[in-house]
Amino acid sequence: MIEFDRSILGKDFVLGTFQVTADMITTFASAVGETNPAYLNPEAAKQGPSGGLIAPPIFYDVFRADQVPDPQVKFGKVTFNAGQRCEFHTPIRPGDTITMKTRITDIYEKTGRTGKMVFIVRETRYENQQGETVAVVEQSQVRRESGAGRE
Amino acid sequence: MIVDMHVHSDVSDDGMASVETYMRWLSRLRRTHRIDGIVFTEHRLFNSEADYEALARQYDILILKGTEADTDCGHVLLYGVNAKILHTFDLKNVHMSGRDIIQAMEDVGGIGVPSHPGRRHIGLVEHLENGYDIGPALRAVEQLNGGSSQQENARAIELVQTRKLFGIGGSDAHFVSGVGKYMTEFTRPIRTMDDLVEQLYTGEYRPITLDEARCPV
Amino acid sequence: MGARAVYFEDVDIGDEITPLAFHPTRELIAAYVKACRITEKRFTDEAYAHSLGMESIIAPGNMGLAYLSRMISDWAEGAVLRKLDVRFRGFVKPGDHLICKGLIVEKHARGHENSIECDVFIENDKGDRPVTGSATVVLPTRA
Repeated sequence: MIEFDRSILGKDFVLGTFQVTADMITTFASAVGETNPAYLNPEAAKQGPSGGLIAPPIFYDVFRADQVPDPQVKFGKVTFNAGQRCEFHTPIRPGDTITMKTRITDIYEKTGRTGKMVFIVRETRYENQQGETVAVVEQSQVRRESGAGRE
Repeated sequence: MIVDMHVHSDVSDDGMASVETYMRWLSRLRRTHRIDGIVFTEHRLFNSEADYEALARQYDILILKGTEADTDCGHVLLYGVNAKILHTFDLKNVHMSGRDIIQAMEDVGGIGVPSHPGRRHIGLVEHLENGYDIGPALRAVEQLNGGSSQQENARAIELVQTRKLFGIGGSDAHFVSGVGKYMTEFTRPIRTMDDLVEQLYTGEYRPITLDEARCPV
Repeated sequence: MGARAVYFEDVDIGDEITPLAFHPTRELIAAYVKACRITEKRFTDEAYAHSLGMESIIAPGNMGLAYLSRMISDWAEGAVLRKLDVRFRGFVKPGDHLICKGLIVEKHARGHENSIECDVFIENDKGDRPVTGSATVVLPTRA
């Protein structure tokens, strides 16, 4: 039996709201070497199908909460990102206000090449100021005894 | 009859594609390669409700359901899971006894086949080396696994030879384009899970690569 | 720019997406970390990474996703990424020579949004795949 704080399962938490600027978008796009002008050049983007500067899909990674709900899993010494399932809806644009909400949806055990693992599945929803969902990211974190080796 | 014995759909927590998407991919692959059947062995669950009969008819391929269980001696593929097995074992329990479930599968007319036995921790070889008593019911292991390294498959082959076991092949595909990497070639037709289990006990099969399944030009 | 228009009608199951090289240097990792305001030290602090049992600092998982996403937008003008599912099976480390790859495995003609499903991978020069996954991409149709 995995020991953890069961009261947290399925509970919704609002992690914060964030203002989006053109600079944040172009900085992120440049950092990963994007060449699509829709992500880089507001003037050129206006002429294109997006009608203005938009953020690349993985831009959600710039939204960071100070505190995230922690199920206090009593196993393992280190946590890694095991995987993600992401859906992208309305593009994010400069001037948007993005609200980040999260909930822990599942906690389960599995065994792999490096031994026993406990997975914590967390679904985070990003909404803009019109209440439209811009992205949903379901992240699986894995608790392991050590960081050595691979799965 | 050539069957991919070990495939994960998106029903598995780390699977990437639906059964139907696999079928569409296979219908292309089968233009150049012989693949007659596929067993979806989902992680730590048996998909009782799923009914793939219509898809199997539509794509003219055998689709069977199994499980890949986590046990105390590594992962084990379960062919012929029934209500009694589901009642006796919690498939989500990663500490279940591998010896017990392999014996129980034999008792109910199914079979438990350790998967990727050459892998560290989740493969049978390491546990046997550490003194694990697998019991009398072990008949076959997955000799060739599509997600294992060459060394891991080599350890599996050695196990088959030293313990005189039967060996199957499976892709362990988690995404569509991995299907068929290794498969199992049976000598007689298989129409049902009962047929498959019966043949697994005879040893009249061998693991093969996708290339060996290529249709003659 | 390089991306050309790719229409739903013109692609087939079995087609490959134009691969994208991904060589995460320490500088590129640091730039990604800075752009995302990441404070987690395993991506920047060697000693901290060792304390977790890792050989070296690693690249954030989302950085790999950002490159897979870029692979799609570099390949096809007008392509819209709708879904990206991945598993992280190994670490991406500074100095790794990786390549992002994609293979079309399914087409869905749905009228309002025609999409393709692709198996996507980040592969190293030994053929190992630290990142494996599936992407759903909407492609424009010829008018």
